[in-house]
Amino acid sequence: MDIFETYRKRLKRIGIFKSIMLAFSFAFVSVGIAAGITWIVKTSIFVTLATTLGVGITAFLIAFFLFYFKRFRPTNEMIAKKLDSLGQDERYITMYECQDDMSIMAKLQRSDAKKKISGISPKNLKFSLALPVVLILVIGFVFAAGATTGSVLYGSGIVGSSGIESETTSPSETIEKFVVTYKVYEEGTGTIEGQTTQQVEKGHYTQAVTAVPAENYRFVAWVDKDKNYLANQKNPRTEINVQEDITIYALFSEKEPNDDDTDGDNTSEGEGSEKPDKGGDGSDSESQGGDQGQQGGGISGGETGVGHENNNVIDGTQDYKDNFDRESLENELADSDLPDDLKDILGDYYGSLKP
Amino acid sequence: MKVEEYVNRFSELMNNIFEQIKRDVIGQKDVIEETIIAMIAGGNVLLEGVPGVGKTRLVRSLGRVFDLPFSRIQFTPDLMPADVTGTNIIVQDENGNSTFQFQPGPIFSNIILADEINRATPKTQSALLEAMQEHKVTVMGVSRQLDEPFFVLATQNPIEQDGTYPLPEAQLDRFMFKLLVPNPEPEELKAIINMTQKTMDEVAEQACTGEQLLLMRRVANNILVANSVMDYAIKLCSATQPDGKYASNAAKKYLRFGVSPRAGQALISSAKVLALMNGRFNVSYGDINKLAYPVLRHRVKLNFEAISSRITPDEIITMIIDELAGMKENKINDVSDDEDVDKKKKGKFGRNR
Repeated sequence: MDIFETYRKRLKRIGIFKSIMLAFSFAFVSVGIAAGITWIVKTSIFVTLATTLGVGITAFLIAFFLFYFKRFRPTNEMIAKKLDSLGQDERYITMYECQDDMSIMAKLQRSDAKKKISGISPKNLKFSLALPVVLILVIGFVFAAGATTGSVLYGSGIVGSSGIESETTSPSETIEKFVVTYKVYEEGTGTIEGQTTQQVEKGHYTQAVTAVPAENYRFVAWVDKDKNYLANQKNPRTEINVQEDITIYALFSEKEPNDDDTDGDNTSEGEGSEKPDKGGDGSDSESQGGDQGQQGGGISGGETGVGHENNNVIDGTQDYKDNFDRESLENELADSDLPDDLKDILGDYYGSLKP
Repeated sequence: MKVEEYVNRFSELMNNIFEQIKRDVIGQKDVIEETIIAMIAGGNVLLEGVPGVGKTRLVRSLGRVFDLPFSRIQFTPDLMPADVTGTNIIVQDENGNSTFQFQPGPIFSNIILADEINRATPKTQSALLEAMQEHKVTVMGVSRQLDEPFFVLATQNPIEQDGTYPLPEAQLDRFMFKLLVPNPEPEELKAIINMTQKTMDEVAEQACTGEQLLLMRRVANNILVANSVMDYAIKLCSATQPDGKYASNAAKKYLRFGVSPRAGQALISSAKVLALMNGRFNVSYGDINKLAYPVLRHRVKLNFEAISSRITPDEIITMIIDELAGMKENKINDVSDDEDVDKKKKGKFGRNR
């Protein structure tokens, strides 16, 4: 109908704008879903961007045409109803429905409607966007932006799948490895049996190595480069929970004359030799020898049934050597956050609790 | 005179009618307007109001303004049907032979004032049924057509219910409108007192003839009704049926029975007149909503809950209109959500919310 033309143009613009808004909402949601999927399947940044962009454009175009042609494209009926909603008392829908009626009343009605329409400016047809559409638009945008950003950051390796930062660029490279090196502090004083250079994954254990003193030497302790005692003085030695590259030295010292009784099985009772000056009780040397190299052999030499004076804490007769677990204490000490010097002191103390 | 010219003169005639009635009846603008609408649409009107608010005076003035024969029947418990319709009497002709001759009752007039209609027995009330609906009277097997235009304007008093016979549903349904005549406002009462101190005579003059009234009816019948508006009127009537498919929540809660198809006919017929009175050639949702009250209020049967809660029929009609206006998905009209946004400004179906 000709009289609707000016309003049709206005409603067409409004319809296109509404369709764009709704299409954007639809596209944003689609982009968000696509980005989420690319994140889950762990695609590269290029694939992520290409997929989300492609999905977004396709969804936008489909939604735009669907919304416009199925819903917002102004028809004569829609224009008539719009005009009537401006307080025109259903003049225009009646005119539209009765446009083929040639009765006098229909002609009068059309004439009346045409007369009234002159007072209606196209600008009176206000643009309005329903609140749910605005909400969907905003939520869709946030969802799409968030999912795409996350997916791109993940694809570029800046963010891991769990969202925790890592310095590696791929899952296989995120596993860190460290080198643990065992050396003899002074060449010629002894050897180390086992793999002296080991590459260990972060937090894992090394294979055990054993410090074997040369003839006339005895094993003193595991030390660092500056000859500081390490907390764990077991021999054989295993590093647990490796967090960095480490170099550990086996310290040997020459045997003194009264150390003879302890060299019988030095390879298995390193800790027992940690404080060689205190272990000079020849009467107990047999018990240490009978330790058969088991962990903490230095204090469990009591298998022979002969106690050590250091274990006779209370009354000098009761042997308490079975009542504390030295190994667990040492492990706890190694894992604790105590300063190194304090660890050394405690390590020395644990070392002293032996025959 | 051509219909087209009458259309153009319609407003002028209406103004004249109002002006003349105003000379006798102070205030009651809506009642006067709706009574005239019913008369043009060819319907009968039941006026309900307390004594002294001007019901009878209004009807008499209408008779004068339209220059139509006017009969007043005061309904009392001992009034018989023959007193209304007339009866056959034995008369002697010039030859001395006795024959039956029909003596028309007061109903043989154009405007009937059935005053205090609820005071007569149901049998006498029923004597009006045929006349009101078919505009004819059957006495002793002989039907006689009443002159057109024919209207029954009945009055009843909502109080003093002792010794009255409430109108049966069938008879109520034959009234196009039930109008509630309110007490006058203080200013109106002052004007009434001043006027009646001078004279009690009615001074309204003829403003329209019976022929013109019939022509106005024909013109109004040609007013256009859009499908969506017609559908809305149908839906409004259907929504009053508590057991119907389109029953509104208000109807389900407060009504025992809804309206009959006559309500739909009356709604559209009267809406056409109202549109023409407002200078339009088509019916709007607003016309339907405005006339829903006088058309529907006496046709709905309230249930116990409504009566005990003192809910009036008008309140229920308001609920139904609001419910229809608020419906997001109108299956009949199929109005898109997009258009709902604009309708909210004015209210869907033209109702201001």
